[in-house]
Amino acid sequence: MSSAPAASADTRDRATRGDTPSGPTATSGREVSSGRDLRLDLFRGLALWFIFLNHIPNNVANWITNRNFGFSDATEVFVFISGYTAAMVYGRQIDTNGLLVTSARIMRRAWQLYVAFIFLFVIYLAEISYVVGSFSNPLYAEEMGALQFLAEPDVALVQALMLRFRPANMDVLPLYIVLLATFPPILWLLKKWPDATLLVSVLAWAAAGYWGFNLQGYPDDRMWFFNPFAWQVLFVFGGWCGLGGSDRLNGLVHSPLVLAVSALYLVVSLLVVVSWWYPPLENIVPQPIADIIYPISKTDLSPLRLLHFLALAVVVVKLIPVDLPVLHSKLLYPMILCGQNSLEVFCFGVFLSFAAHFVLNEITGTLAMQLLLSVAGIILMISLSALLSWYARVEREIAARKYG
Amino acid sequence: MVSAGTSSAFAQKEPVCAAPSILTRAGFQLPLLAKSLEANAPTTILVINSATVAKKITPKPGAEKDAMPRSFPSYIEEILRTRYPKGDITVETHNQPRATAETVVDALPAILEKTKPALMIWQTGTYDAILGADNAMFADAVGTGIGYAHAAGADVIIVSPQYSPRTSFAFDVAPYNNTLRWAARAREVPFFDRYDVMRFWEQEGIFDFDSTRPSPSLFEDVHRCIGRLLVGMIADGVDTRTIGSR
Repeated sequence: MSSAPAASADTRDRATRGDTPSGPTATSGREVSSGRDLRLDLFRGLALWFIFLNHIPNNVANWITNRNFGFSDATEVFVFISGYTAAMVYGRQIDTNGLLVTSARIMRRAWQLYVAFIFLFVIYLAEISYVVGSFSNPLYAEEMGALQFLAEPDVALVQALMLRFRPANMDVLPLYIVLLATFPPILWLLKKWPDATLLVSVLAWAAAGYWGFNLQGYPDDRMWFFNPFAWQVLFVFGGWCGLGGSDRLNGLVHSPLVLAVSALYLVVSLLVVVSWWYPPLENIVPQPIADIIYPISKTDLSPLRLLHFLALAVVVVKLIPVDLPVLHSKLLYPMILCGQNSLEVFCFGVFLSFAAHFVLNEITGTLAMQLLLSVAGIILMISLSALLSWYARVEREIAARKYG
Repeated sequence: MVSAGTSSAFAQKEPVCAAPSILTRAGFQLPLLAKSLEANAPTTILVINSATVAKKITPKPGAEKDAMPRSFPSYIEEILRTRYPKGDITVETHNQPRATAETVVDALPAILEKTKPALMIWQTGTYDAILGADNAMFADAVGTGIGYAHAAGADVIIVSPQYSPRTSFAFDVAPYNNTLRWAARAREVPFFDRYDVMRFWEQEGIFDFDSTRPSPSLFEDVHRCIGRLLVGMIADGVDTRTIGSR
């Protein structure tokens, strides 16, 4: 899953411009993206679409996603922007409501995600049971045996409740739950000593990559697919930016040298990635370099991926300034909408990808069906987000009338 | 799908066993095997597998082989013997069910010592994908294993896991396949990408892997084809004019 251009950096402008952010932050505790920087929502929405498309195995539509054009992918975008908006929203709430209340709200959010995870897990278990029950093919004896083992409900369920049993392609959710659940103290530290906290976070990432410690999963002690010790660096960096750090980086981000280096890195990364599937470019990476860099670890957030994401952010911030008119147009509105209710849309997207996979296997797996399901899934995600936004607006109006 | 219909209707007719040449050419040479074949010395080929072969009730000893479905190593032996009649080729299979690459590597030196093969065909990655093994450790294990084989005087061909559309929602094989490709390329050994070959077959309708009622000969047809393509790769790797370049 390649990363969509990440919206980052200089969106703190809105605070300095004196605009009061729109949308409630207090009542619902949800991360309503306030403020005028629509790029955050835009790219988070795009990342969610890409994650959905990439989660449908054997889907021709996942060729358009950004994992095929560079080292990083939609996950980096999602984690970074989530850290950014979480710090923005909850950081403000710490000032107005105090640390304890804000922490409670964050934990409640994490709890909602946990419940969503359990729900998705049940769906997943249902699909496993269905496949085990209906499909018998001696060619796949190993795979079916493993599925039967996974479907042992007594063990699998308990492990899922402990977030240790995470089915393939659902790994972002436990990562997000852990990042959010541990966020209150980190947010407080980020507000007090932002640079020191960021430094510690980077050191933790480096240590996790170098020494390889990770959380344990299930079955058989497999490690978490997304190493939280490594991926937290993007979340914390996002939070650091969201609390004003991005302003300080403005000079760096807009310097022509940095822009040139970033663009160059993007091009190199594109060529390398293309060489993986385009035979004429096969030998573009010299052997000694290949020995050092491969495999590019997604689990531990390899430096190449992190750098690629940062380079992408620099280029995007330059190409798409915060006040670009098209951001307010109807064309991009669906994407922005999905970014605004990102967590619900993400969970729904995982559910839809299961459904799509089921349809592709049971009914027909033709090219036309893959495209149809991809488009239908995205339309459904947009619809859900529109529904949620409408509902939130209605609730606000009712509350305003009540207390206004 | 059409192919399943035809292969069951024309039971005697074998399916078209084609695959894109990029997947079937060796890419690297197999000089040690070539030397052994040239010298007409008794040549052993070791196949390391992670298959759990479901044993049917064993009737009289002689018929044991018929009771179990034939998997690709047995086809390799048959086809190679036809192709290199003077090569005195034996294929030995070592099955380590439910084993990741790391587990296999631990046992590898002993197996190599015992069989002294000229070629090791190592099928790995299935259980690494199922158990979610760490990709970096998987890559290291594969590299170490190839090193052991070379030290023991054997060439290596790496074989990737099967393509299984039905279970792909539970086990994500693709990253491990990529890792295998890179590990093989880094060590300059041929990589038989069974995963992509089977994916090609599914897309072209040559085999139907996700139908709820697979044709009864599917297992044997697929393994026969795999065996044939593997032998093609072996022949490609052996056909070298620079024997002894290692």
